[in-house]
Amino acid sequence: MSEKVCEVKNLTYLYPKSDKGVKNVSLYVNKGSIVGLLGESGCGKSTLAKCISSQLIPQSGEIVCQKIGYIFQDNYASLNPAKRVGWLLKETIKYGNPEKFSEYEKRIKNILEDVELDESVLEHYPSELSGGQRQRIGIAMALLSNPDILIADEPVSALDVTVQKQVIKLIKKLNERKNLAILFISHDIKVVREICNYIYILKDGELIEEGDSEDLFTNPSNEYTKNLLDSSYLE
Amino acid sequence: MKKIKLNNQKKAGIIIVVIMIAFVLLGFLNKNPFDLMNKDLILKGPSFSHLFGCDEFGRDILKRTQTGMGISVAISVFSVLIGTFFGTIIGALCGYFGGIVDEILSSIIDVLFAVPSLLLALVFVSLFGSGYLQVTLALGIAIIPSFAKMMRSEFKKQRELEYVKMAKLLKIPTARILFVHILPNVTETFLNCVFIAFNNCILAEAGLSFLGIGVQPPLASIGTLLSDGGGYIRRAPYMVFFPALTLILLLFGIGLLSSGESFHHAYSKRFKD
Repeated sequence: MSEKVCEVKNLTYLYPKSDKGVKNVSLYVNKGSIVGLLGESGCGKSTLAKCISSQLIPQSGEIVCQKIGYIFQDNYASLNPAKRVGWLLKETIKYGNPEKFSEYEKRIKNILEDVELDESVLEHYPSELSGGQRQRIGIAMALLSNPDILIADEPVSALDVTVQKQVIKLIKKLNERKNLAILFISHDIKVVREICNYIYILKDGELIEEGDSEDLFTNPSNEYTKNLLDSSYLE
Repeated sequence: MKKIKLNNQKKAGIIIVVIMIAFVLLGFLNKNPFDLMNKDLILKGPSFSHLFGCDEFGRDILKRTQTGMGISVAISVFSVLIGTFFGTIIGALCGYFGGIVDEILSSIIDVLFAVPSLLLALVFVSLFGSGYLQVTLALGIAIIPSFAKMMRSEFKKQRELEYVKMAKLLKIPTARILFVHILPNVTETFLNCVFIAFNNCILAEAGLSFLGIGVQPPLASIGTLLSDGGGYIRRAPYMVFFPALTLILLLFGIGLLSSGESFHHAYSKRFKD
């Protein structure tokens, strides 16, 4: 049986003066697996991710997770625009993985190789890079703190299709090479099918269906999931 | 090294400010004291030996204007430093933390903000006496509220951005997030506030000294020179004209520096337009 790196039990978070949020959600992510969290915009996917990563404090429920790395959706806003990429990576090691700070130059070199970027990006400001390069830097920063689980909150939704493919390929490669658990959040069914082993479907803040990727896509049991799949452009 | 592209307003501002700084510094070449009196030169008009003329005590107005400008600028620089330091800290704490911290500090700032800065400075000077130290402190305290308000709104905007959330996830100390991560992103507003506050301080100092509660004689400041010259405006208009001209030029130069495209944009393309 695989080791659980993250488990959420009966988590509820409702935004103040609203019934929006996530309600009684339970899920887990095993080591080395890519788990998808799929649902339409506004269904609570990012809220759940924020609760898991302690950006929001849930009203009830339990979260037991090992070290978390976080990839944000907006690759521009997630990188400090006033700092060079080299500084950002160094700062991430300094606070995310301080015991390795003495060898930060080596760590930065290795991580750039992992995310397939050239060392010349270190001298650039984020705005001087392309969307794909910025997202790779975002992934590199998430990896530098040596996480056990990576939460990828719509990591490719702001990218064009060709760059999306490259980033998905990269995430898959990192998952295989580092046996890293990934919670992949997306509203894009195609992308989720491409990358995830196991999928949770979220609707109006509640989990309505879950299952192995291929089972769920070929034989959905919930009416909403069927409609969701029908409305996509899957062949 | 990146090439800095400045707009024409900023270029003109830099030229004027550099000229005014040079004007003040050139005063050090003139070894005569600024309060040297000469009964033979009383109310003597501008000449080659005394370019700005002489005042009612036969003192060289050029030397006094250079000294006075230097004192006015020094008072304003230190006042802005005081206002910037405390205003930025208070604004950063209010904007970043929000909640009860924001409510308490913002209420205090709002009360201070409701009182005009010059009036606040007047109250301070009347409580603690006149003199350049008191004026510097009074003006510094008077500009804290406006600085804090501007910085509060900037930090409030920034705290919602994902790079700040990323920093929080990494458990970077709050002080570092505030002043190493966020502050460089608000320099555009920060610098504009500094320039505006500097101009306001120069004017306020001139106003306080003009009223006789700022810099005290025999020290000179632009305000005291205008005040002294006011009594002789018909007989010796140059006593007011030259100090007023230097004051206007300095204010104009600083005003131009704070206008148009920010220095940040000019220096780098790192910020999205």
